[in-house]
Amino acid sequence: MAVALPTLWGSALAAGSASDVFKKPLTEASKPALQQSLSVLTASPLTMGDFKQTRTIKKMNREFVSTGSFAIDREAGIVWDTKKPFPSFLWVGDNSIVQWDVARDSKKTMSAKDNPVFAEFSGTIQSVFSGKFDELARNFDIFFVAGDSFSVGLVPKEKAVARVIASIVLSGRTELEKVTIVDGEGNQVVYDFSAQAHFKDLDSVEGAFKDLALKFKKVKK
Amino acid sequence: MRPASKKLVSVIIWAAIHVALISLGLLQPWKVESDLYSVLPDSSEFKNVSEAEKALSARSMRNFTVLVGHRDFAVAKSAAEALEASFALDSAFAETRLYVDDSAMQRMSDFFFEYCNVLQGKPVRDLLKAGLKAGDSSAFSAIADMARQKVYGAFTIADLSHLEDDPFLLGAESFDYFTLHSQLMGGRFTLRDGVLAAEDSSVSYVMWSAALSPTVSTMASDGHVLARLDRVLDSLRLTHEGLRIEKSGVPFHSYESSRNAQSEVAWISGVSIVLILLLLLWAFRTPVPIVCTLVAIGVAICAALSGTWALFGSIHVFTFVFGTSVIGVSIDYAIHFFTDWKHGTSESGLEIRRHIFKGLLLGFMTTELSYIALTFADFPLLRQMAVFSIVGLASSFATILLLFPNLPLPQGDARAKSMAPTRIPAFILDIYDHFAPRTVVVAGIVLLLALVPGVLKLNIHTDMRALYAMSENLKRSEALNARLNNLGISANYFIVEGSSEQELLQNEESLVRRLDSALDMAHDSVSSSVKPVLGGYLATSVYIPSLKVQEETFEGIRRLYASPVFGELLRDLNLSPDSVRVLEASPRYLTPQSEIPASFRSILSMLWIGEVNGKFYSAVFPLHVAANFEVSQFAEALPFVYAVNKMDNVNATLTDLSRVALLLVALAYLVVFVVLVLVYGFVQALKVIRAPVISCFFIAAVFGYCGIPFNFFAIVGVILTLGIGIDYALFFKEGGSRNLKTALAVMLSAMTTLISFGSLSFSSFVPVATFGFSVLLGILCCFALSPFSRR
Repeated sequence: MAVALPTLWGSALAAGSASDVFKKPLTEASKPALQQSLSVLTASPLTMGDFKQTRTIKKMNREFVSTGSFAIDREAGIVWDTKKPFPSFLWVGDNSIVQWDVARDSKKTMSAKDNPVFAEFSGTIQSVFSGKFDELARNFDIFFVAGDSFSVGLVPKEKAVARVIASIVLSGRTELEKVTIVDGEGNQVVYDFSAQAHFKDLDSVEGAFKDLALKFKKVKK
Repeated sequence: MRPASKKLVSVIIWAAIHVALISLGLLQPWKVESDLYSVLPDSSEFKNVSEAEKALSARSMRNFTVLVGHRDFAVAKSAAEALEASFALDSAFAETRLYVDDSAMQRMSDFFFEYCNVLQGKPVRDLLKAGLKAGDSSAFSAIADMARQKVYGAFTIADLSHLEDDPFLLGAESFDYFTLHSQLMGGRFTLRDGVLAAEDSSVSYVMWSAALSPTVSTMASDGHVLARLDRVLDSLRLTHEGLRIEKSGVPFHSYESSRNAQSEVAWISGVSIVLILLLLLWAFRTPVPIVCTLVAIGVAICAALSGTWALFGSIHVFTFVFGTSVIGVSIDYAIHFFTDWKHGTSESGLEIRRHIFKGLLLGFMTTELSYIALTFADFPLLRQMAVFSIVGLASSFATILLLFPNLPLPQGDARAKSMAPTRIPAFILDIYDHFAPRTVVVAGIVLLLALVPGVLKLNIHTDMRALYAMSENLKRSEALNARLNNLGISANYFIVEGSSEQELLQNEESLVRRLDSALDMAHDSVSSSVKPVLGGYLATSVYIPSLKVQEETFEGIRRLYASPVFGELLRDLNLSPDSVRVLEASPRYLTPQSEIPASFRSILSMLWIGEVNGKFYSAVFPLHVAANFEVSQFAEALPFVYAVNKMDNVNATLTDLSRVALLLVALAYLVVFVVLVLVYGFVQALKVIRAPVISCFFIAAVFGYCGIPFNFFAIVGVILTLGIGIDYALFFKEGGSRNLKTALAVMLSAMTTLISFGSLSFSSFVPVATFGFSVLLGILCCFALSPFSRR
């Protein structure tokens, strides 16, 4: 049975602009508030929703926008189903990352078990989107601002990673609403999330996300 | 000629022989080999690339890794930094590596972008090939879709800043293929705080790797760089509580083996020499025979060294070990002279020589014949050992016959026959005299029958792997390293040959196509429970394809840009054709001399052997192979590819050589037998020869019963038994039935041989222990049987 929760959208985040968050390093005092904020990511066993991805290439002064649906399953990992303008399907699991060309029905599997880069990638994506504090604290310096809404700033501790991901900002109110990833060159990818819905498991999904749930189940096989 | 003149002539001849021999050796530059690879026999199919293989092995044998571990990564890193600081500027190291430049990934990304139109992985090259076929636009579309996916898909880390220069994002595709998806990424090491680190059982390990300078020997010595490294590691352990150090690499094994061997040789030879000296002192009660025997041995070794040096240009340390037979036999000859000198009735040294001459000459000839036979074996080390022994024995024989007779005899009571310690030999001979001839025949037959099952169980096989016992510490370290690196480089690999660099790369690509077929089959059967035969491979041509392949790749990309797919992609990416860089008419091609990123350069330095004797060579290493993986299968019908199964090749060749050596010695013994028949007649010759021959069967039977493989080193022991053992029977034969002086001499000879070789069987160095055990058994049996050859 669907446990649809009302979608909460904030057109502007009360916590201020993304760069402001990096002025507020996480302190022992602000840690409980952070964990409380991150709990919105961990509360539901399965979160589904729509996303808009805006990739900005600074050197070209160009934006590439794509849209689709996503699913974050506490057990099975994360699925990113890009629909427009070019369909692609990505599953980030604990042990593998699968790129599924749905049109050609061909899967490209990258084993995270045998490849530390993919393991790191999978771990980072999952820790960011699932709000696993210990994982985040291990790999990132954490910054945090909270009010009506929250902003979590993440800066990779590893210099080599910082060239690919210079910073990440997660923000939202009662849902994760926006993720901004900036690379070392100043290029950025912004994910805006909408229409979030929460479910018990993949079998209980109904409505707009039923098709995504079916794809998720198929890619896991 | 008067005796005084005779003596003078003898000394002059002896001196002339030795001065000539030693001068010959001194004229050569002195060179001692310690590298095992330099003496291992080449199997017939491998001879052509032997030099290339040796160059490759010598390079890999200098590399090693130290993992510095601690539960706290910061402590592990700090200790690794202290280690790097201690040795970074040390001239004993060709290089040391701790830090990884954080711009390395960027440099690789730039490299793949620069060569993206000529360097692509197999998936893109296959699509380009398919696209080149008329009418197959789906292959080109698939390449365009990869670019679309990188631009619009989620979580791509592709660098899009080159999109207008490379709209198909072929540089990013190439980067993905060669770095993220590479077999080299299979390990657990990741970049952490500027160093490579991995976790195992809650311990963080930091990798410090190094290569020894080519001038550094792997033989252990006090000031050796690995001894200094050990001292630094020990002090790091003291200053960083809970620090774990795991060492891995060939230099540690060579160093540990040679250090153990040296300390063992020191105590084994020390104990042996003391025991032998006490024995000789007990027998002769004067230091003169001992000093003279030591002089004879010293001169024999110098002569043997010089002769071997003059003939081979160098000498291997193994020759010293096996050349100890010279000491054993030199002592035997000297003992026979001095037993008569001290306890005999001869009036002068010349008379002693006359008495012992026949037995000594026959013993000398039979021993020399055995060694001469070995020089026909096609194995340089065996030949070297044989020549060393031939020259050493000849020198010893000359010293006994030409120099010792000049010694003045002991005077008065000092030479009393009654002083001779003959009680034990008399007791032993009494036992033999109690045996009735019929009892001896029956007992002999029973003994021979008892040996048969053991001989039938004999396993003539040499396995070099079983001869090296790794210490527990090194075993644990190697296991951890293999687990963390997970590269799975196979011990069996390929060496590819070409008359030019480009031909070599093309030849490699022919082999790589076969390996790719096996990989494709492995991927197809990924769901099955059967373990794939091959998990991957490392080859130079993957990173630097031949110009032919690069031209094919470029032609495919040129056609890709000319196809309608290009326009569709520009439209989907909202790129104007005017803003996109035009594909160059002639790209920049990669060659082995091109500047490539350091991380790939280090792989290529392992694979690319380069020019050897006018031809070019490289190695191709299979990765994660199954037990049934056969390198020779992949090299079949590719005349320029050599399957290197080094250990199996060496084992098979040593096993064959063992058989050949036995056959050669058997032939030599046939000649010895003919000589003995001419001297003593058929029956008596048979009596002399039976002791060493039965002893050889005795050794074989004991090895068979104990289930110990009868390897090359055991067989060298057999050859030595045949050479030395026959002397005892000959001396008894010449000495007469109740000659206690002869019995004493043979007993002393056997005891000294048993002490010197028997002690080797306590060595932890398996080849030496096997050799010692074999000689111990053989000499024991020879000594037990030789009294039966008395007149």
